[in-house]
Amino acid sequence: MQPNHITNFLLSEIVAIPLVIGAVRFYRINTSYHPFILLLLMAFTSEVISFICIHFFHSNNAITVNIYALIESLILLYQFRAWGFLYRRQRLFYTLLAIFILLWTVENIIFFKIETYSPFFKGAYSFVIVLLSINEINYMIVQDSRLLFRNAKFLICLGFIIFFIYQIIYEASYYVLGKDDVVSVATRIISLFGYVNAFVNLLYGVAVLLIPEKKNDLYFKRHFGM
Amino acid sequence: MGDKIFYTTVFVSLLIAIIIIYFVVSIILYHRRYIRLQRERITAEITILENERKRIATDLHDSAGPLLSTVKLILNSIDVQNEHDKKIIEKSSRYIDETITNLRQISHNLLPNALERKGLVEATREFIQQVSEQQSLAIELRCSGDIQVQPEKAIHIFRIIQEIVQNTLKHAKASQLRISLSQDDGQLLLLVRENGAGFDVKKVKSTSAGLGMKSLEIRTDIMHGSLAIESAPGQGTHYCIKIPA
Repeated sequence: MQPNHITNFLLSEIVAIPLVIGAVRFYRINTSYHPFILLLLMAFTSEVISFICIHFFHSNNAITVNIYALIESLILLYQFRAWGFLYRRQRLFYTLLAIFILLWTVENIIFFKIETYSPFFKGAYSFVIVLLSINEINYMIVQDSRLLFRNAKFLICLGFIIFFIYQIIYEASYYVLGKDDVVSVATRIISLFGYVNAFVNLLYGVAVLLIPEKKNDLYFKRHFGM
Repeated sequence: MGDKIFYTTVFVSLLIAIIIIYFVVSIILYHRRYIRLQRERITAEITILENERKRIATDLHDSAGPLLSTVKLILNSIDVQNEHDKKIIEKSSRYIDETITNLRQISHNLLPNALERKGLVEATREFIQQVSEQQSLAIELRCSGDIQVQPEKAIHIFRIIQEIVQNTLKHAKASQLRISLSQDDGQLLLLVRENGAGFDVKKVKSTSAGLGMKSLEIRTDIMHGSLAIESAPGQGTHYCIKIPA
């Protein structure tokens, strides 16, 4: 059974749960997680705009999705920079940034795919984000002696891996499906995307709850009660 | 359409394969880095420990020793008529002598002078002689060829020998212990064999809370060497340590 666009919208709006938790805790949490909260806000906004486009204006949401894809990729890169890996590798950070912008521009502006679905850019940045997430997770597995399932970064990276691997398969399915063809397997993969997205958003909700507080504030509060 | 599906499937499979390979390679690299950092940390800790031992040994030998000798000299130079006072001075003098001997022994245990002045083999010989004088264990040292070891490795090898001898004295109830040192093909081979009670190596490694066995492993690891222990209850223990020279 394929979910209709209202069901899809409701599933995608589960992103509001981690967003609300993040907004409540925003000033207390470690600043290195702020890009992630911004990402949740962007995802929420994008889903609302997409719903309005489809439901009220009966138009295509491709432009919103494509612009959101670029913003998401840049925020994610910045998130990995804030976590330290890309901060220590400035050249890699700027190279990936340039590649993302170039790829998006070529696909969406030069080949004028902005009004339709552009799978190459999304596939490419999903692949990079999965590799960066694996890198973070492996670092934590080897170096971090704390319980990983109570580690916000670990859960967020796990969510990224699940979501973006599925996004690669999803974009490939869209690419195979084309505009009018109906391939049952591809259709099922696409229809499941909303559920995967919802699950990952719930995982993000738990992760946002586990984001550590700012260390300095905590020490000052403990010692001076302010 | 069929070709498109085929090539897209192959491409996606390839991406997933790369992701899996990256996962494995990345975890191996991080693990190696972790092991290297751990080794560096332990090496630094042991170096600090050895330097501190050296400093304490030197202070005891060079400062406290001569100071006590001076105190003894001054004490003996006091002219006393009373017999009771004379006895007290003699007694104090004996205590000072004992203290000086004990300080020398402590200083020697912390860092044998022979290790720096004469090298590993002579220091080991001296250590064995000291142990043999105090214990019933018969220790034999065999060296084949000229043993040339870097000073920073010599201290670790000496500590390994000390640890094995102490373990044998404490736990093995052995009557004989043979130590063999040889150097060939750029590799130092330290073989130790004793005829004591023996033990279950795997069990001791997994359950023992003591630092003896761990110290042997860590010091061997620091020198990028290998340690093999063969033992079984009632059959004595064999230690084989290979260290790149």
